[in-house]
Amino acid sequence: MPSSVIELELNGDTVEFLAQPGTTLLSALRDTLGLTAAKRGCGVGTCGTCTCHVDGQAVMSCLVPVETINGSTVKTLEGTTPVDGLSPLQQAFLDGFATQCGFCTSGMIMAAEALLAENPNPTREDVVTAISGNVCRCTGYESIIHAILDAAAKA
Amino acid sequence: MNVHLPESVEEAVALLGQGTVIAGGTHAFPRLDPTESIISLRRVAGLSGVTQEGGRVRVGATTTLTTLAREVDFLREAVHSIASPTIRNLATVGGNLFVPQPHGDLAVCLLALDAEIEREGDLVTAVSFDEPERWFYRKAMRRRQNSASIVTVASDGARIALGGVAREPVRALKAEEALAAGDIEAAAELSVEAADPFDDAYASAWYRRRVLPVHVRRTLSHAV
Repeated sequence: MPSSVIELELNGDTVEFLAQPGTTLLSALRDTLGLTAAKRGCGVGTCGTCTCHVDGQAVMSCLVPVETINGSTVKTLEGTTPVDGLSPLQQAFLDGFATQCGFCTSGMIMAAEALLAENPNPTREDVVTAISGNVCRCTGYESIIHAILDAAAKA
Repeated sequence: MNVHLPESVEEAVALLGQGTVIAGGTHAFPRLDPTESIISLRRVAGLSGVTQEGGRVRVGATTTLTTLAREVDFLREAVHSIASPTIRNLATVGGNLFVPQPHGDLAVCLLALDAEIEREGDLVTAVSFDEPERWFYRKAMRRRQNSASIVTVASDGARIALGGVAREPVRALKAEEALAAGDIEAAAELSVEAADPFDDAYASAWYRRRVLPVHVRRTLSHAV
């Protein structure tokens, strides 16, 4: 089957690109569009490193065939970063030493972005639930939870 | 491979057999052979949404678990015991019927609710059930969130459905008889007769059988 033209509203810009049948959103972002913040950890939806927002909801981009979301709005970590400096969550992660190897960080921040958009004053329990699909293999969960709570408190 | 994107139920039904049907894609999609075609239900109009009328709840097949938890209060705890928010934003009610245990806790609930499945041909289009007067639910897992089932118990106070203890959700009919007689202890012991447990990375068959009565007793002792 031939490739199809996909159009997305990506981080505020309209982008058009060709995708072969079955291409995942993650693969389109990384390999076609050059946005490498979303990581391919497991490829089967169990690690959360590829978390992005599709139409405002945090999803695992490795589980989404990109043809099925043609026309949707997609936000990646790159889209949360201001022109100058860092986003409040990025700054809180930096201040709170909430990155170790960094591989899970973009997924953690995108899961946290979705939480704070819906619930600006989360409890610790809310934060734990929001990142329950994201694995930090350095096991730095406590500092990540603190950083998200810190970003919420400062907002 | 082909990616079919039907926009109506009729189109989707006509495509059946030409690929694997996926909706949220959380279970089937990552397990497919790369050459295998898919029929995505994501763009099919009218397949998602929850309606509640006179105590009857009807849930479209491609309604996400996130939406179900938001709309149907008594099922919220059960839905929140399944996977993580990022998966629940994709995973669908219809898809949950087809995942093998120890996944598919919602299917266990639907069995306890004696839910009816609506179909067009071989395509599930909706499930519907009466909101129960009482509701009991418990899921034992390795972690408090985002882990597959060791034992799942769902009951409306009459029917008892079990997950995690057989490859498909099962009704514990002998246990239901004991429960009807008001004997929760006996219901707990008899629930084992419905189990045909398996070993996996989460628990051994031995362990599942051993703890099943404990969880049945605890479930039936405290309504949600």
